[in-house]
Amino acid sequence: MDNLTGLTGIQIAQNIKNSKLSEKDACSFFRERINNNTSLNAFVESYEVPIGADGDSSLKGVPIAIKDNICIKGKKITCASKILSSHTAVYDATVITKLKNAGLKIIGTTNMDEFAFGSSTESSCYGVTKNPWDMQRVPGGSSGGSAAAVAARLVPFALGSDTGGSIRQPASFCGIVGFKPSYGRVSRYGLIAFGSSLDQIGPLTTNFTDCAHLLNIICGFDEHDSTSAPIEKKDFSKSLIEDVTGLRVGMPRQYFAKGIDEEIKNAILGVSRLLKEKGAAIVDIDLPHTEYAVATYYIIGSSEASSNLQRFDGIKYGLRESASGLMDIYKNSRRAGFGDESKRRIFLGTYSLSSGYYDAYYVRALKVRTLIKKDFDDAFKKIDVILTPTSPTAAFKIGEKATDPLSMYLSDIYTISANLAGLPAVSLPCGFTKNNLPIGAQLIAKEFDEETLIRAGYSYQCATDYHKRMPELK
Amino acid sequence: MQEFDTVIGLEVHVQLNTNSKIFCSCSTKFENPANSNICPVCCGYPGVLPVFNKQALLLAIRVALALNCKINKKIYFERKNYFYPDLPKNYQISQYKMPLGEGGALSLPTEKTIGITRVHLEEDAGKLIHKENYSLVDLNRTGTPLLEIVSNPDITSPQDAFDYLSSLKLILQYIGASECNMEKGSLRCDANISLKNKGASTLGVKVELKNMNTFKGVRDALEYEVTRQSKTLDEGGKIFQETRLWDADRQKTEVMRSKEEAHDYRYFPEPDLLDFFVEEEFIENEKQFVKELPQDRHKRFLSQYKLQALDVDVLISEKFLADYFEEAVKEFNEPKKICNFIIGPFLEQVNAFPDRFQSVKLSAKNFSKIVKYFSNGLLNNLTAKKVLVLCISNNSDIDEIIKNEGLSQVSGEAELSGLVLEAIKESPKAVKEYTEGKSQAIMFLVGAVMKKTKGKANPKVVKELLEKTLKR
Repeated sequence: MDNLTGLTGIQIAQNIKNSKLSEKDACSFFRERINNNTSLNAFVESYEVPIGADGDSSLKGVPIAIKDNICIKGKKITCASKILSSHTAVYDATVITKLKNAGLKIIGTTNMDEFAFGSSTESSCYGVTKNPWDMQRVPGGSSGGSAAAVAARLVPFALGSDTGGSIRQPASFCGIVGFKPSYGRVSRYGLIAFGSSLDQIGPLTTNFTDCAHLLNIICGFDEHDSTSAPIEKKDFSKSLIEDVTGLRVGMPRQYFAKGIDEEIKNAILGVSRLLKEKGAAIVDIDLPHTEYAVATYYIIGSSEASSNLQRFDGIKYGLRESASGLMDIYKNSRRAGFGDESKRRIFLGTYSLSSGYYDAYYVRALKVRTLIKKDFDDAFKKIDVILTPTSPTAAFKIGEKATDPLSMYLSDIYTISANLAGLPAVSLPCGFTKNNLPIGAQLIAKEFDEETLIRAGYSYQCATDYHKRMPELK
Repeated sequence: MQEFDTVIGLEVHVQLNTNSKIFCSCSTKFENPANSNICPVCCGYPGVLPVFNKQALLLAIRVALALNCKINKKIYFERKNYFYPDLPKNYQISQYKMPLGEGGALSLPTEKTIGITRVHLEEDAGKLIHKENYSLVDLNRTGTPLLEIVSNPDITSPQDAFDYLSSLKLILQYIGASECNMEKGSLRCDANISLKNKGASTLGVKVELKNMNTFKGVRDALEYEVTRQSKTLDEGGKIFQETRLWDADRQKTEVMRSKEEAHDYRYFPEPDLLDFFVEEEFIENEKQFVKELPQDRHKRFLSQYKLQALDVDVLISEKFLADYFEEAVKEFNEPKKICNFIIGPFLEQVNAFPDRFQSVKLSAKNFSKIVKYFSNGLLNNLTAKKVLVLCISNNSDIDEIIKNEGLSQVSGEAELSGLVLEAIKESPKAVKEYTEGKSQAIMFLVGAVMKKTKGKANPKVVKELLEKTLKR
């Protein structure tokens, strides 16, 4: 087999199983693509000998890439930050153990915004990842390296992490499927924390079949993560059914109000039309506290991040700047090691948690978070799934928003609420702009109802071919 | 000379007796080499998560119950953020807004009661070893479960502080919550002290004292401060709010830092651990473990075993002794005799061991046998002690030792009469004195016979035999 780019992960696994393809050749094929497309800057590191044990699963032998904030024992892990640039992981994240046990081949680590702070990968210490659909544009972020790598078929699929949209928004910018599971579905053990109450690891794939099979591998309760949910494991591949008859799809008015590109809006309306044709019921709904989501998210996420990043002090691992006293080692190392966006979040979080401001910011944000959750609870009494755009725009130009943090923050406006409420959500390819940039639609379901997302997404995918389109590359 | 009231509050940290650390499965043993009881979690490596050790909760609830606290059923942790090299995450997982227990009380032997403000769970930090131009950190202790017990400022004298600590230690040891060894650091105490004009309602300026390594050190440091502060105030001086370190060698306190550098710890709920509730039944069930605290047991020992108060003081002072006593009495129902033998020869042996009770391997059952043989005459004072020495640290079979060492007491007239005659023959001087009416002289002859039997003779029988023989 000479070209594997048209194959899904599952198809590659089947070819390996039927001995039409060796694991080694599969890895070599993708490694070559990685090496031929370094101009994308999607990978931080790719491995000469991919890591993988002798485990088994429906995806055995298939290469996978990992966002550079998930620990792989013995491998460099940096969160795309200078402060960790010399750090090697001393243990495997739970998801890595699961991938190894499933026989997948870890082929490398992917670029990201520093510590996952961003929506464009521009804050990476390794420089921006390019969008394979337009090299002048960002791939989205923070899992931009994973999204670009999958879209460019440098790897069949990848893992990312999603704190406020970091899987879904880059998936939408790159025209692939990006799935954020319910909070607690996937163990966070070994994911370098950004916002502990928001973070969730999830797959970036070209299609829903691979997505369901990868979810089967990475989900499940983990005794090392107290916030992982002790609930029964499901076989998500059973939800790969082309049937949305009777599915109640809610479209929140607040998500189509202002700031949204007309092209994006029309594409999402196209999705709703298609689902309706296939038997779904489309319902207008209200999520009245939507407008507070961004502010709430930036207070809670930054507060948690400011504490999570305290451990990076130059003493135990990573960059250490010399100084005469302990305090100065801390100060110099952190000053030199953290990029601007990280510093901005640390300041923001430290301020929100400071005595005298705590009640007005952090505590108030927690209250609003509860209201946002309640909005969803109320909505899901009438509907099964929510349909929204993933991002108000398609991929923007490199540098376009880099100097305007607020406009950058607003590019997550549609994705943030699912993290605040702990809900599963997915971005799926649903069209292209006239500039040939991918557009993503977001589906959000009830807590732990990943099945509905897979069924709805798969049904849409069966009726469309956006997921099959590939960017032109060397 | 003005008169002042002394106002003292104590902040005690005790390490809880769990096998593993509070948020990971590393051992809490201390003898191990530096940085051997560590893992990515307690080292704060990027990406790790804490998992709460329920054993720590169990012990903490028992302590809170024993200190008559109200238990907050909603349990959650908070992060206390600060940069410090012995806590590698640069935040401590602790409890702030809602401690595990609140509003408790502890009675002192003097019948005074000291209020307990709060009892909360947290993780211990590591140890720093400062060298000339560098420092080392040992993270073995990092993550050991720690209970902070804060008293109300109800303590009115250094001696009360000493009594408070002694009572607290006894309770914690009794319920098996902590070893409370101040030298080993499993109990640490900081004190706050201020003076106010006698009878005044406004409090004086508070000084925090640290670095006391014994209960006596706490008392000495407080006494020093009472003197220092009252002298300063008497002379019209001012007390500054500051932290002072106790220097045990020089027996004085010295300023460590002034309070101006107050930290903002930015406490917020620990997002890596979920809130949970302890059920009422769970708490009720734990009450059985704190049913009888030392003071209750003292009362019971007096009435049940009819012992002297002073003896009971000794038995109760160490939970091990009191338990050992009760177990031995179960086997041999002679409380007075068991008690005497414990307070006498047994404690003498124990005190000779560097780690005291930990070296005792002799079961209370076997111990009771020694006392039984002593009381029925099979062993005498000397041989009983010898048996105890031979088996206290290995629990060997008592009967076997007696047999192997030939220690059983010789009481038979037939075996002893020959030796009695020999002794009389060899000590004409003592015999003469005795027959001339100096009755004490017979003890010399008893001693001579004991010597001949290598201490195994029953001295009572020997004395009777001598008296009988010399009367003829």
